Amino acid sequence: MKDQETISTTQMATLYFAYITGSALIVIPGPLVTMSLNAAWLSILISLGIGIVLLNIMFYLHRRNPGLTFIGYSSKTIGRWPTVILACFMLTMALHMASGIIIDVSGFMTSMMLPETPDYVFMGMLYLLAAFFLRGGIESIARMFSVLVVIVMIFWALVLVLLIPQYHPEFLRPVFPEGIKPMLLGTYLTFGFPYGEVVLFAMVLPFARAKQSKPLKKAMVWAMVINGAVLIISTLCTIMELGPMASEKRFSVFVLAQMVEVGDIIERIEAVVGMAMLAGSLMKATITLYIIQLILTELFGLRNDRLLTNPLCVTALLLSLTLPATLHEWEEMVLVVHPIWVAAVYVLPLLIVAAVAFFKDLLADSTKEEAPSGNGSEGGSVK
Amino acid sequence: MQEKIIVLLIVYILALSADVIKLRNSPLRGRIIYLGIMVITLYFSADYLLKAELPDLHTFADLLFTKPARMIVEFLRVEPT
Repeated sequence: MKDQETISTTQMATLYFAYITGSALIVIPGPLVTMSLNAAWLSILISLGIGIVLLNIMFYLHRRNPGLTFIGYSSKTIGRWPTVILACFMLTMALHMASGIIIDVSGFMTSMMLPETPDYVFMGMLYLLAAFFLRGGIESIARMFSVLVVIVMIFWALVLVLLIPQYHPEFLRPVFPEGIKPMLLGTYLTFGFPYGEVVLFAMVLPFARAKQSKPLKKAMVWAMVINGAVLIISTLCTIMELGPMASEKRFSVFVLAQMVEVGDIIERIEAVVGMAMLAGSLMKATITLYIIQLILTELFGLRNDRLLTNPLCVTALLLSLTLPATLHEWEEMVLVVHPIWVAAVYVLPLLIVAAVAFFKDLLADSTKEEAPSGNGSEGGSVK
Repeated sequence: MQEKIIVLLIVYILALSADVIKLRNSPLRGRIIYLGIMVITLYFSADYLLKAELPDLHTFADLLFTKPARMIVEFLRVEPT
């Protein structure tokens, strides 16, 4: 019997943090400021709250079905074939995510650092790395990413701290220059990416060591809160540094790194920051591919969960090369369609499974309450 | 076109050569799923080579989600004053 791989609570929380922060750090601040203007940080706060609610629902199902992934307890709760249908829909978004993260990284590299290099070079190398990670398993992934997350955060913090003398806090006001609708639009964006995507992580929760459910939930909520703080600080610093130009810059954290100049000693650190941002995206892409691999392995009842690593990486690579027809189409897919797609194929299945599980628990409880009144009349006949 | 063919050849050779021995020792079900996914990749390879814009994930998303998504965004978007 194959030993189940397990990781500690800290490693699981770190993986979760890498999953929700990884590519959000590159992609979110610029478009979010375009949509929400100065209320961007409020948008993140609201969608963070929604994300924490989703996490609590995931943990309700996880505690009710220890050792089972989302596919496992979904099959138990709503049946095999409805689960297969839900899983197929989930896989559409998961594959879009796995390819989209690398499309964004490739777009970043070709627009900001290496414009003459073809896309397939970045994409191919990243998927090759991801394949190596996947073959190593969740324990190797967790150990490696624990180090990478620290490196990414150090460089992120370094850029924002070195720019302190150049911030203009007056750019933060007014918070609602065009009313409340831009804030709601930003909430729509950040709900889809990254907070609605947390549902997919339910597939990885069973890999946490047993009997650690309560500290695990606390650690993961903290990971979400820290993620929210990181995104809010990035967005605020973007606004304070770039002001009205913040909405025109697609990769704002990289642009901030380009503006760092301390004496004539510390400057041109954007290459290092670019590397950190690449690492963040690679982590999220790897975890997403791992989850897709898990879903397919469970759906088809395969014993070897690493057999599908290479076909999945090839599929994701070809999707990255073929999906976006034009930049405009890609931006519309990410900024406009992505949130509603996430709501339909991630959040809705979670709510359906949770609702059915909840009503089954209620029914089971009411059946248990009725049973003792039948036993009392039989047991009370002592003479 | 030649460049794309070379890229695809490299990708498939790398992917398949690493799995040949594993596939030989795998049960039938695993081999069928593996080959099924590789057949799907051939479809995307054709799309990549020919730039044919064949139906893909975005076609599915477009059919179901683009219209309601645009309605939400248009409702929430405000023209700057």
